[in-house]
Amino acid sequence: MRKLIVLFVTLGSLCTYGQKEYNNNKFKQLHEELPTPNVYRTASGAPGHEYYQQQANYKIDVVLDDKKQTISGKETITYINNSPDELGYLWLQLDQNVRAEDSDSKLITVEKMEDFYNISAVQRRMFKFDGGFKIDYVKTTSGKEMSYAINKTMLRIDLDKPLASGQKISFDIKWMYNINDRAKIGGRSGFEYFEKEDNYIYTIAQWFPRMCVYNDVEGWQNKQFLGRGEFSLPFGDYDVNITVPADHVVASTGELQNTNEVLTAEQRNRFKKAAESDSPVFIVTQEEAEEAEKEKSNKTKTWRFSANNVRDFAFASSRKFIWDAQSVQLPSRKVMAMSYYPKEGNPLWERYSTKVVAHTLEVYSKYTIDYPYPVAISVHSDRIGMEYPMICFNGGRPEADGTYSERTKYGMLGVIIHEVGHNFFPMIINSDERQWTWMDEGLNTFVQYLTEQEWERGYPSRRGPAYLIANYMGGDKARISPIMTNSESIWQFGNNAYGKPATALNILRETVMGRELFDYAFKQYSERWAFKHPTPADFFRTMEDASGVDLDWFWRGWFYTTDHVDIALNNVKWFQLNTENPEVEKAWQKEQDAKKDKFVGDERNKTEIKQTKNELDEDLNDFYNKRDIYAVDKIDREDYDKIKSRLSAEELELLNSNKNFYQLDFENKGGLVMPLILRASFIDGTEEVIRIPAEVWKMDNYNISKVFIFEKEVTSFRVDPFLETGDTDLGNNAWPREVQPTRYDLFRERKMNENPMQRAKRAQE
Amino acid sequence: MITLVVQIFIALHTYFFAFAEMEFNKETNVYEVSISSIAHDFENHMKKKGVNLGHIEKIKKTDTLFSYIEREVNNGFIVTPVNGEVLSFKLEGFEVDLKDNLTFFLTSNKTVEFKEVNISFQLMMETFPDQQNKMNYIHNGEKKSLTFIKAKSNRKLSL
Repeated sequence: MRKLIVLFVTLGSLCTYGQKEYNNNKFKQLHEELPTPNVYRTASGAPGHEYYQQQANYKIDVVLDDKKQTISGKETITYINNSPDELGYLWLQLDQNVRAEDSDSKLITVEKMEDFYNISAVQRRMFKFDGGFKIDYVKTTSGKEMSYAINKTMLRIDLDKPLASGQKISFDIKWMYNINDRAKIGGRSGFEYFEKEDNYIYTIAQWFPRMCVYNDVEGWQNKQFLGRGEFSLPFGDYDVNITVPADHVVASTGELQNTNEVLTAEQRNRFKKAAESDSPVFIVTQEEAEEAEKEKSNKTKTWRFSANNVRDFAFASSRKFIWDAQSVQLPSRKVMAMSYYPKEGNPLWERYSTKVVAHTLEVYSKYTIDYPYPVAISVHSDRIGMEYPMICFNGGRPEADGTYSERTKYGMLGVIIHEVGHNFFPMIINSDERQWTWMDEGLNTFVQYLTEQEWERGYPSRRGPAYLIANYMGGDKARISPIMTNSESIWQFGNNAYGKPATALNILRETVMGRELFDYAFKQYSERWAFKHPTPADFFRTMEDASGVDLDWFWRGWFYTTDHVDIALNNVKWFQLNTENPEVEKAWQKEQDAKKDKFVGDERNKTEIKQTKNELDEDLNDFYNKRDIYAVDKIDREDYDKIKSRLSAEELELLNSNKNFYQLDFENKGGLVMPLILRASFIDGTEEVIRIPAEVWKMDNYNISKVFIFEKEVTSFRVDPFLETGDTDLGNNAWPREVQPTRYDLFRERKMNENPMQRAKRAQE
Repeated sequence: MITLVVQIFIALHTYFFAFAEMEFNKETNVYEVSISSIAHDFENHMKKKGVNLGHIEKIKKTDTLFSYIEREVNNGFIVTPVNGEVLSFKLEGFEVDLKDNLTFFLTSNKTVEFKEVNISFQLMMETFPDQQNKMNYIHNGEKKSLTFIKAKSNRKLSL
C-alpha cells in the first residue's frame, strides 16, 4: 500500500480518555495513594529530620532440654523510648502462641470434609500439641510483679507510670514452651528427629517474648501473628547464654564470647585458621560429628553469644553438626561465613554451603550495603528455608546413597542465597513483614536473582526474568491480588509477594530505568533505610528521587493493580513518499499492478479464448484501447516541473529519498502501560531494535499509533523480542502474524530413572 | 522465607499454583492438555496421599507409580461436556526442569470440540488450601482464561 502522506494533526484524538468524573489515567501521580510526607519520612523517600525508632536490648539465659524437647528462659528487656510520645503500656510478641490450642490461626483455617481424604489427614487434624508460651512471670528488675495481659500472640504490660519520651525501662520475663516437631506440625523453627540414632537437630527461633515495633506509621504494631505475615521488630543489643547438652554444637546469631569454655584447643585453632582462609575450613569434621552422635552427654555447656544492633535472635543446636567456616573480604570489613550440617547434608553441604554464603554476602553487599555483621551462618534443615539475623535454616538434602539430583542442588543453592539474602531484607533494611510481604520477599528475591546469575552463567533462577511471571499475571483476574495487599490477604502468596515484585524490579532495571540509574537508586534506598523501618512509600519515593525518573505509573500499574502486560501489534500500514515524478510513479504503478493477484477466469481466458473480436478486427480499437496508462506524456512532465519549482533542494531530496514509512497500531490489551520494545527485520536480513518509553501511552492508555521511517523495506515487526516486559500473549506481538506453539507442541518426552550422578556411578562399576 | 515442603496448619508454602493449557487438535480430534506445576508441590501432595514418589523425574512410564500419577492428574483435572460424558485423558508423559517446574502432557480420547464444557481443576487443592489453578483454552488462536480456587473449583467454559 502506498499513500501520499498528508501532515496534519487530529486534535480531537488527543483528548479521548479519562475526562469524565474522575482522572483514571494510568500516569496519574500517586499523591492519593501515598501518605503525606512529614518530619519522620520525607517526600524524597529518606528518613525525615525527626525520624526516630525504638530500641530493645535483651539479656537472656535459655536452657534447651534435649530429653523433653523444651525451651526454658529468663530475659531482662531494656526498652528505650526514643519516640516523642509517652507510652502507657508496652506490647510484646508471643509468636509461639500460634501453636497454642486456642490459636486464631487454627480457628481461621477454612476446611471442608473432603480435606480429610485419608486416615493420615484425619490424624493430622486430630493431632494435639501443647504449644505456646507458658509465661511464669513478668516482673520489674527489683522483683515486683508487673500487670500484664495476653491477647493471643501478643502480650501487653501495663506500666505503673507511663514511659516518657527519652526514658527507658527494664523488666524480667520467665517462660518455657514445648518445641514443635516440624515433621508433624510444621513451623519455621522446631526440631527434626533422626529416629535411627535417636538424635535431634534443633532450629530455635521466635523463642522468647520480643518487643513489638512502635513507630510513626502504626503506633504499636497491632496485627496478630496468624502464621503467614512474618515479623516487625525493633533493633537492639543481645547477650544470650544458651545452655545445651555438653556434646552439642551451637550455631547462633552473634559472636561466640566464650570459645575457651565450649571449644577444644584444636577447634579454636581451626577457627583461627578459618578466619584467615578464603575457602572453608572444618572446625568440627564429619568424623568428629559422627563420633558425637554415638553417645549422649548428661552434662551441659553454656554457650555465650553477643549481638549488636539486630532485630531478632535465633540459634541451632545438635550433636550431629559438622561445622565449617571461611573468611569473606568485603570492601569495608571481613566477615565469617559458616555452615552447620549433619552428615545427611553431605556431599552437597561441605562442597557448597559456606561458599554460597560467602558469594551471597559479596553480591548483596555490592547492590545494597556492606554486610555489617561479623558472621553469616547457614544451618541445614530438612526442607524449609527460614531467616533470622546472621543465621538461617536451609533445606537441600542429598539422597541416602550420597548422590543428588540437579534439582536438589539448585534448590539448595537457591534457598541458601535467598535466606542469607534476608539478612539485608528485612533484617537490616527492616520493613514491616506483617504488613507488606513484598518489601522483604520481593526485594530479596530480586537480589537473589542477581546473585544466582553471578554464581553460574545460565543459572536456572525460578523468579526474576519477566517471561516467568506471564502465566500468573494473564487471564482471569478473579483470584489474584495487587502486590500492595496485606500479607495475610494475598492470593497466590509466592507469585504475588515473591515473583511479581522481583520481576517488576528486574523490568525497572533492564527496561525502564537502565542498570546504572536503577542500581544507584536501589543502593540509595538500602543505605538510607539500613537499620531503620522503611515503608512502601519510602521505597517508591527513593527510587524516583535518586534516579530522576517518574515511576508513579509503574508503581500504580505493577503494585496497585492486577493489570497485566499484553501489548498487541494490531495493524501495520506501509507508506512510501509519492515523488510526483511521473517517470518513477507510473513505472511503480505498473509494477504494482503486475504483482496483483489474477482472477482465475482471466487467466484461463488467456488460452481458452484463442482470439477476441478486437484482436481479429483492428478497427474496433479506439483511443481507449490503444492508450498506455503507464506512459509518461508532456503534461505529466510539465506538472512535475511545476512541483519541483515550488520545492527547495532539501525538500526535493527528501521527496526522492525512497524512504519507507510504517504506521503501527498498538493496543494495550492487558492494561499495564509499558515501554514499547520493537524489532524491525529488513529485506536485506538486517535488524533494528527501537525502544520507546512507556510515556507513549500517556494520552491514550489503550490504543496508540506510531510511525517509523526506514531506508529499507521491513519484512517483519516483533514487539518485546527479548521477553523483557512479561507480555502474557506473544501471539499478537508479531507482524506478519506468527503462530505461537503451545507447550503441548513443544513436548518431548524425557525421563530418567536415575539421577545423573547415580548413572555415572553405575557406569564406573 | 522459602519453604520447600508443605507445612501443616500454617500456610508457609510459597508456590501453590498450577497452570493448564488446553486446545482441540482438529487433525487428530483429541483435546491436548499441558498442566504445569511445581515438582516439589506435587511430590509432597502425593506423599500426603500416601504415595511416596521420591524424585518424580526418575519415574518411567512403565512404573506403577506412573499410573498413580496419571490417576491423580485425572482426578484433579476433569472435563465434562455439557450434557455429555466425562472425557477420558491419557497421561502421555511429563517433564521436570531445573527450576522445579513440572509439566504433565495429556490427550483425551477421540471426540469433537464441544461448545460448552464443565471443567473441574482441583489438582492439589485438597493438600494445599491456598492452591490456585489457572487454565487457558486456546481456540482459533484466541485464549479464554479461567481461574480455579478451592471454593470454586468448577467452572463452565463456553466457546
